[in-house]
Amino acid sequence: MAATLNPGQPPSMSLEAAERALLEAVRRQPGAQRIASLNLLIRAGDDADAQRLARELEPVLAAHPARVLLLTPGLSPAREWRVRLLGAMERPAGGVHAEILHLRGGLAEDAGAAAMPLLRSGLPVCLWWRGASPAQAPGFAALAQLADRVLYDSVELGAQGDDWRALSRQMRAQPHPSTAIDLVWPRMTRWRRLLAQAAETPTGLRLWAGLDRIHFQACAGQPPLNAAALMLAGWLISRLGWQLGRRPAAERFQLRTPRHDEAAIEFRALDCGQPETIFYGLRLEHSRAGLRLELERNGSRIQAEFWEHQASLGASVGAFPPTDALAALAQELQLCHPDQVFEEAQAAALRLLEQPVEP
Amino acid sequence: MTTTLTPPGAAGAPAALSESLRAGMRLERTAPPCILVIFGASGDLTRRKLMPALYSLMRAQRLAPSFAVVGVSSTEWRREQFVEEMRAAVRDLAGLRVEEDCWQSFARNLRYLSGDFDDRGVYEQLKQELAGLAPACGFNLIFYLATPPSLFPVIAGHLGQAELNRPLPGAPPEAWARIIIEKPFGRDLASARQLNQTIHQVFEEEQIYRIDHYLGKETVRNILVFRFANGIFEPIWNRRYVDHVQITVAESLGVEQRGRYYEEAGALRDMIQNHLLQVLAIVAMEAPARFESEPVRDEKMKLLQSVCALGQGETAMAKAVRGQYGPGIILGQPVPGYREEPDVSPASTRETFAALKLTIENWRWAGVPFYLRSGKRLPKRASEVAIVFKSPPYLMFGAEARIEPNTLVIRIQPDEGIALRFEAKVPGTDVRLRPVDMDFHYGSSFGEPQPEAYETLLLDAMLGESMLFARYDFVETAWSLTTPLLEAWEAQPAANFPNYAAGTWGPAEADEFLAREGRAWRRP
Repeated sequence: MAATLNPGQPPSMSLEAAERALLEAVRRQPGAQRIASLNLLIRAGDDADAQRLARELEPVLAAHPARVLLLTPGLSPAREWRVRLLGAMERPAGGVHAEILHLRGGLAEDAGAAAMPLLRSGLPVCLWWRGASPAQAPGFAALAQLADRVLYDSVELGAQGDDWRALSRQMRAQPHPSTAIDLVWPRMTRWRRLLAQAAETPTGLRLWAGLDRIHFQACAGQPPLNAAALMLAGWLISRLGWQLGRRPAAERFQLRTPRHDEAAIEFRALDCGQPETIFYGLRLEHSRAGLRLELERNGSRIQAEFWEHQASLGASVGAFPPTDALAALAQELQLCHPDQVFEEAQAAALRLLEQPVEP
Repeated sequence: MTTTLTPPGAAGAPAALSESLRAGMRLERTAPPCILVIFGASGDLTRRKLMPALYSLMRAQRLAPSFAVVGVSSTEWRREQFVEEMRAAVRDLAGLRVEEDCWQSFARNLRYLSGDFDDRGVYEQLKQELAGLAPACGFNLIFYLATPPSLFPVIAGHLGQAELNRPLPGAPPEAWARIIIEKPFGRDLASARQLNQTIHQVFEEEQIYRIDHYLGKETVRNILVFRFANGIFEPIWNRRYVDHVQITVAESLGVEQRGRYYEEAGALRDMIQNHLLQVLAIVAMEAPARFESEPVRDEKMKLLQSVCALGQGETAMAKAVRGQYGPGIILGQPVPGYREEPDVSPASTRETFAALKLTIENWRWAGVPFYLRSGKRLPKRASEVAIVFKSPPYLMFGAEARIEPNTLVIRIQPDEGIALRFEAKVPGTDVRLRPVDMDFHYGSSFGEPQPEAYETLLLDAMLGESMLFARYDFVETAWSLTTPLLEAWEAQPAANFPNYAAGTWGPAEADEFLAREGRAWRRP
């Protein structure tokens, strides 16, 4: 559907020449429009990674017309940065909805200064940090300073358990912590929405009135305390107002509801037959009433089923398209201000993780 | 964005729990649990629009998992037949891919009742069915009248007698019952009033959702955003800067299989009385106090009340033009004239084109004419609003410079977007001017598909958001504006029909109508 102006290996040019070349490229397309709602800075690994990103960003840019600056520092020992115009994407109607530039070569510490003159004026700047932990990457601070929002993906960065805790703590310690958001959060939005919908049904209302057990299910081979499960748990705990009590085992927690009733959550890994999936389901129980809700993901489907004792009260199946990093990015770019619900959920998840296990 | 959490365990209020869980959610809106009852469940509207919209919403999890549909129709089907017919409609008529597991999940809560709409027993049976479903599916009820308008009073009356105009016994206090009706809402002022009175005997106005699917279109809603979320347009949106406004809804299709209906309706009733007057109100109204249903509908109503009456008889006719298409060429293909269409009288005097001039008597618009036109078998399908601005007070570029007025065009369909036409200097040593368009296309600026109007409107009705639905007073005022012209035209049938060839922009009288005022129709 979309075409890039410069497929293959486009010529490299100085930063100064980039804007002029872009104008010229747009001029060659009859009826082209230059529309942008934000600047998107992305850390790219190497040339191939940048080319792949330029292609794969299309669905994101369809919803969020943007100027994209892909940054790959360190390709030359000198401080000089060069630009390649990877694309001014063309729509069938003849419009241009994205301008993608690849800045490469200079020192990571100079990435902010290199990007600055190429930002479209007056538009918000979002940084999507990827590929390496910000703690080890010298370019992070330079780019984060330019950004109104910093997006990072703990799943892509491979941060689980204690690594996830350290990463989250680091991002919360940034000068403007409320601007940093983990893309694992939008990955869980569909789960959150399903839970919210289920809570509104007559059976759901009965369940929620006495909810006292929640099981978070990772796929076998994945850490039970993975980022996705932790964020969902943090969200539920913070929304329900449950208070932390004890941690009898590494993956089991005793809590207390606002009515001072006992409640428990447990993280476990089960064989789900979907090795690529990190998180695949959860079970909520009102144990005294024998009522439970099971949510299980199966590929691109999700099934929600209420049970009373051992009898099914009916299952509902819907589409559940995978929320990969790009889909999560597209969703997150809708928001241009701090997200208090995320912060509360993340804080609750961190408190869980930091609770000492009882001897 | 976020709300203060009221832990449900402490407050025990379902609404607080729901609000808390939904806080900060990025995805689209979702409907609360409810049961939708469709009267006319075997009809065309249900097959082509309602069921595909519901399936799409269900598949995307925008309906509650417990959502249920009860179809009611005089067609003698068993439940299994109903389910199969609806499945075929979703697949064949709407062209949607039916995914087996999603369909089974959706079909699980499809129910069907066959019977005569005037049979009291049908409503008792319906009540029992609903009472059986409610404990699992929720107590909220929506009745969709996808039937001929003559049945609206009949069905509403029986619903009242069966006490289905209120939540079922045992329902929680926040439960609701609503009714959705399709246009036409009457065929003149008297019948519209009668219909409103009849329905009001059973349902309160806030329970009634009158669908005008035109208002569900994304671009119509965007007019509100365009006008009131931008600071630069509102200051020039008035008589001081605007010369006139043209609202056009052009269709290239003829009456197709709707000849019988169209013989009764005509262009003025079918399009202008409802769709075009709704668009006029949105384009010309004052800023509402809040972006909520009642403030927006209040402002639309105030605007319509400011529209100057057309007068009676010849006075009304002088402010309008009517036409009927004869044979012609559309998109390179010969097409028959209106009188040769199925179910149309060979001597029909029903108008297939109508244009009229309205003026608005308020401080903002006094003296600014609004020209409305709609017709069938015009050269292309196009709906747009054109705001034509006044020319500069002094032209300093010489006598040879011909300056076109600035025009802001809001395209409603197809190719939804907004274009601003202004003068620019042609590059060169001479000063030569040329009008250019600065053109914004939704399709190329935002690559996301626009939702179907029925999906938007069904969801709105379930969520209790009535902004895009017509209120009784708007309907009656719209009829009071158009009824005198309808009566005048019916009293003096046109002698020159057909007076435009299919594939042209309407009768010559329409061009002369504007030329007399020194203006011309825009070609969409």
